[in-house]
Amino acid sequence: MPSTGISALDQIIGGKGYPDKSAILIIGPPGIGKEALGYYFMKSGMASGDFCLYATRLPVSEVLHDGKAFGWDDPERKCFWIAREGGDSNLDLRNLAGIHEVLRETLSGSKNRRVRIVLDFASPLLVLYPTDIVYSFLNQILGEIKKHDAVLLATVELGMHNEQAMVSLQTLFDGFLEMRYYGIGLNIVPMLRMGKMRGTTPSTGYFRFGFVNGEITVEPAEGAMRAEKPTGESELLPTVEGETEIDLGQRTDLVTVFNYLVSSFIDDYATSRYPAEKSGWRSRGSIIESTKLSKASFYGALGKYGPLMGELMSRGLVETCFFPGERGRGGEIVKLRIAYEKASVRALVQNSLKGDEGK
Amino acid sequence: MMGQDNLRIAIIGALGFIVLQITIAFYGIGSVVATFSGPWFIGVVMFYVAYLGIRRSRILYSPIYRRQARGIAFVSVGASIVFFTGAMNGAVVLGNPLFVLIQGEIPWVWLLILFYWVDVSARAGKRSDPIARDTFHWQSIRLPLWAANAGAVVIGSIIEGYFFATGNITGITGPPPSTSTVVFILIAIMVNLPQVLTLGAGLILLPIVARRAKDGVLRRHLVWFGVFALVFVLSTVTFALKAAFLPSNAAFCPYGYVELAGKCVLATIPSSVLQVEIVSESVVYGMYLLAAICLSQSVRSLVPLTEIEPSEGGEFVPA
Repeated sequence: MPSTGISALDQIIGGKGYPDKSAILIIGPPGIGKEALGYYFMKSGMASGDFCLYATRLPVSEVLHDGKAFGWDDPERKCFWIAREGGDSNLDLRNLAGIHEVLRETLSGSKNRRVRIVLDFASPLLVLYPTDIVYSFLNQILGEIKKHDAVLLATVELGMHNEQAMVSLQTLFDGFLEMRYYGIGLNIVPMLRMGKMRGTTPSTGYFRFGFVNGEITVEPAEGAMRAEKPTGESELLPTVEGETEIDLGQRTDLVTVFNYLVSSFIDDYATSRYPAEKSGWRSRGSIIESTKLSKASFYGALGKYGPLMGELMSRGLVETCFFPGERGRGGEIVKLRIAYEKASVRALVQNSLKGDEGK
Repeated sequence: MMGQDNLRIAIIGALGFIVLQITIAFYGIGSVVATFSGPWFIGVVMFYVAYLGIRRSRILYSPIYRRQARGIAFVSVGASIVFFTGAMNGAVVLGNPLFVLIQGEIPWVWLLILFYWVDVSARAGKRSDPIARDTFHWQSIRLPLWAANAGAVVIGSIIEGYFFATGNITGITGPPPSTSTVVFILIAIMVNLPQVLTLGAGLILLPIVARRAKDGVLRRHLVWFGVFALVFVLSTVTFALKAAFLPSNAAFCPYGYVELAGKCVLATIPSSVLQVEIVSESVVYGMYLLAAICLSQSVRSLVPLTEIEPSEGGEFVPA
């Protein structure tokens, strides 16, 4: 597995780096440092003797100028450049067949060396062509990647393309890494998270990152913000013996919401056949609509949680998750479901499932 | 959503408005204290916008976008200095010729800073254009324009110094006694070159760059800056109109000829229409404050935020 060039990122992905023969998508707003991950990837590849190919819509001089700020340079032109200006081969975005041909020939000439590719023109392609054409083109490129011992890193701008295009790309690639700026209180914190990563068990959650003197720092975000679970874990977690009692006290609203969330989970998992990690997620709006509880129970002042929501969370009965593609009140939508990883909650669900099967 | 930064700006601005009204009430319109208070608060707000720019530049890792945020920070610092010196000139060191000379130089340096921002934005726009079009061959002409602009500022400063030395501290508003009209016109062209280059480049180049760039972040940034520029110019014209009626307030006006233009416009308006002095003072203050908020929006738009905050349970939730 080729290293990302950043040991902390290697650890997050699963210990060794990007999966072999994979294509990874890096999503983020302009200026956040998506290309920097490409520079580290190239730097690491050049150090380990891999064949490095950089396909860029910029002139080579501009890329190298930016790369120097992150400690990457290519004075001896070890890298193979497909660029708008100054490259080994010219990049013309109006000639997709030509780009495919150059990539194919270059990969064929890599002489059994491992190949690392960075591609930074996915966004311009999505602007210039319909999504299906870009999808088809990238699919062909990814096909070439699979034929060789190659790993491709592509960057795409967040907020520049429609949701359908972004979802299509995320589906096409073997893994994706999302970088965003988060406003936490008075601070602006750049964070990254692993969307999916084929064949590995990446760390979930959000990681703060920063670049200091050309070096990158990556560390888990305080407060352990939850991310979506990685795909591929569709089995229910095993039953844990022991604590199975759930004390909901005398609060009827608490009982109502919890029962609703349990039945939602079971509906999704047993009836709709969703994988466990995708089951049971409901927005606050839909919970309010179904349970007829007040909005104030879930939404507090100044964007904080309402008292009932706070109670559910402080008792560890529910877990929350961001759904980046969806929009809610003033930001990304947050959904909740029963805290399925908690032994007592899991036991309750599995007992309910057995009961349903018995019927 | 207004955002915490804009809320803070609005609070400082509101505080300044109250102080302005109190000083007008106690010391009278056009008094030294009243003249000092308004621009001083606008200067503070602009300084805060500069802080926002620096803060954002530190987390923008791509050099070109970082330079854009820094450009806004420099523009804001320049604006705050313009306001501070304006307030000082009107209130503290009224009539000090050396101070007037320094104050006269600041807008030119500020224009140079604006030109820096225009340059960086044009290059950022090229990068955001899918087919990387070099609008008006900017990459080729930017260095000669930089040289012309910086040269004009230096020559303009020397001319200003000459006027100062010969006792004509009003600078371009009239030729010094020993200068012929033709030479004066040439000098005026030289002195005005930074404005022509900067504003010309900004007005002609950036709208095209914004249209060609498909990057929403850059577009929002440029649009907000455009609104700032428009409101700022309108504020200055309004100020000049006001200054024409209140000569005692004329100390703070970065562009003398705007004041002259204001007077020409005013000649066509019945004076009774604009006699409400306090309202006019407040309107000018409000307009400059609005300009500062637009500049703040411009710098904030460079870093699109997903708002979250720690919940009681220790996790981050969207605000």
